[in-house]
Amino acid sequence: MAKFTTDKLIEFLLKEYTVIAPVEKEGELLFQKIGNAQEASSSLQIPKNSFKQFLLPHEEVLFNFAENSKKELVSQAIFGISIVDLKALLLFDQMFAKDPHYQNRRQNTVIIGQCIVPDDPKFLSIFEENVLERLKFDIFIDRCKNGDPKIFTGSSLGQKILDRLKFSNYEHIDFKGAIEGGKLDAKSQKLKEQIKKVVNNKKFWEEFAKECILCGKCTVACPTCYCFDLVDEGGEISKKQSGVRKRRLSSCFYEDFASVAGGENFLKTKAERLRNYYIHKFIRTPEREQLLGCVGCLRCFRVCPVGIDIRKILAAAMKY
Amino acid sequence: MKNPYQSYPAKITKIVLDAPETRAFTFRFQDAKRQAAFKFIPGQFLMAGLPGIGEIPVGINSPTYQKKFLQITVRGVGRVSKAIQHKTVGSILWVRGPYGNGWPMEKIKKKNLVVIAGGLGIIPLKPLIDEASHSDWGKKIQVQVFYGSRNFENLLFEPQYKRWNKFYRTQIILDTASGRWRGEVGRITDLLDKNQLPHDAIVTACGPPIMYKFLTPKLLEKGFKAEDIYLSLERKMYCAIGVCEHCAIGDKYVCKDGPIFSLAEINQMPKAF
Repeated sequence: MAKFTTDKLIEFLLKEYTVIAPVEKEGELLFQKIGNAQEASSSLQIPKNSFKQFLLPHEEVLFNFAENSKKELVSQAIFGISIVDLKALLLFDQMFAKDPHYQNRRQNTVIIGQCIVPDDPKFLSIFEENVLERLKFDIFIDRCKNGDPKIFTGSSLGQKILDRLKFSNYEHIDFKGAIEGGKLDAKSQKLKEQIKKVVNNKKFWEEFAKECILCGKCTVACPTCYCFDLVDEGGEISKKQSGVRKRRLSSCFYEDFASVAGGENFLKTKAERLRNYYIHKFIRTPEREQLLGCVGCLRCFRVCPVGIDIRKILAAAMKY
Repeated sequence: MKNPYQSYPAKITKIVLDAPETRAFTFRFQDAKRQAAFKFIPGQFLMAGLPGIGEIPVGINSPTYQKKFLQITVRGVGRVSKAIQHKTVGSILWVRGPYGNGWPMEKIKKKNLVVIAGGLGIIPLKPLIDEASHSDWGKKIQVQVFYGSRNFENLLFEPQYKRWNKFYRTQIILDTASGRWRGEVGRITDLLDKNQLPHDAIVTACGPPIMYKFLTPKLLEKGFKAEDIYLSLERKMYCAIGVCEHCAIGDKYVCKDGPIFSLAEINQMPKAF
């Protein structure tokens, strides 16, 4: 029986996969492609970006007007993904369940989780008991406690990888579904009801949106934000049909997000856009997907240039 | 897994200039099987576009029983709709759909029907009017059509009015009268005041937001219930399958749960600030 080390695991993965891991770069922790195990950071902080760009790239071709698109060959491993990001991954898996482009990437991605704690673990208190049963991963490394790391597998692929490395000291956890009983938990339910109470409270949203500069950084950083445009490029050349349709991630804070030809804009004001962001995460997603649309990572707050704090907005909504 | 973002080429077989900058495009899918298998519910829409330009949601205006072709009416207002105006017979349109819920047909068939259209809003209502005048259920119920337009030039589907009038009363009102017009002038709500309305009816309406603003209180005043008043909503759309989020209102997607909602549902939606 071999002793588990993350280096050995990463070196093994590098032989078969493109490996993405948190890397310390210019004083920041960022998920990016690595070339050797030493590049991966051992930090237990949450990286500034999430897994998002590796499963839902900023831009990708969805359809080719001239020919049948070939499937992109994907074979990647994302190493060191935190529990909060694993929660976001569950939502992505649901939202893009019928999307062949996402699924092609997802089904060819090995997910290796770690017990990384967000800046404010109390916010949304994500560390409920038996959380691993409710997450999808191949391997999960728990080195948050003293002593040797505890290793879990969540799939037969994860087991195979560890077996091949002769790491036999792991515990297998069967996925028991994203939520207990298939129903939104009481806390998220309460949050949803509270946001519903302030939906038409114009003052509430104007107050919190006052400083917003509509930069969209929160939506880029958020691991559950996936809004996109379809962009058709190329075009007909001397009657021959050609060109591609791309998906490009967009932001609901941008001026043209809900504007239509003729001049109508259905998200005209800052307050309406901020409200829409909160409705999406705390009403629409819970109602439709039975999952909370916020995983509590606080990346939105961390990147916001004007300091809009999701904790303050939710706390204010809870008072109504 | 099917690619939901794939469009299919359709050949334009006929173009009619129906109003200023507004053309009816008749087309059929190049794949004959796709054309033959295409089914839709009145009120549903297509995503239609051109390579390199983009797509727009467009209501289908041809009848549901017309299997040989489809028809859309497009006014050149935005980038894509203007580019479509320049297409000629034989050009290729790229089309996917149908999308959305359509008018509540089962409910309509059991009651009477009031159709209210404002401007281009007549487009997604036309297949409903066509089906009502072409089916057994249509003969069993009372149907009243109200159609309001800016002026005479902007009236759509004029050659159809005679046929529609054979089956039920079609009342037209214009914002401003012009030379040839001998009919009503005013707001669409004036027609509701001037006419005897069918009892126990479903209202199906499509028009600009300003029309709904005046229309809905009037309908409630006339005794229609919020759950019997159906409005078709416009929003920006890209995916048309409830993922991209552009058309979301509250917990609903206009592309997937709509575009047609009852007033009762609309009353539950977040209000615009």
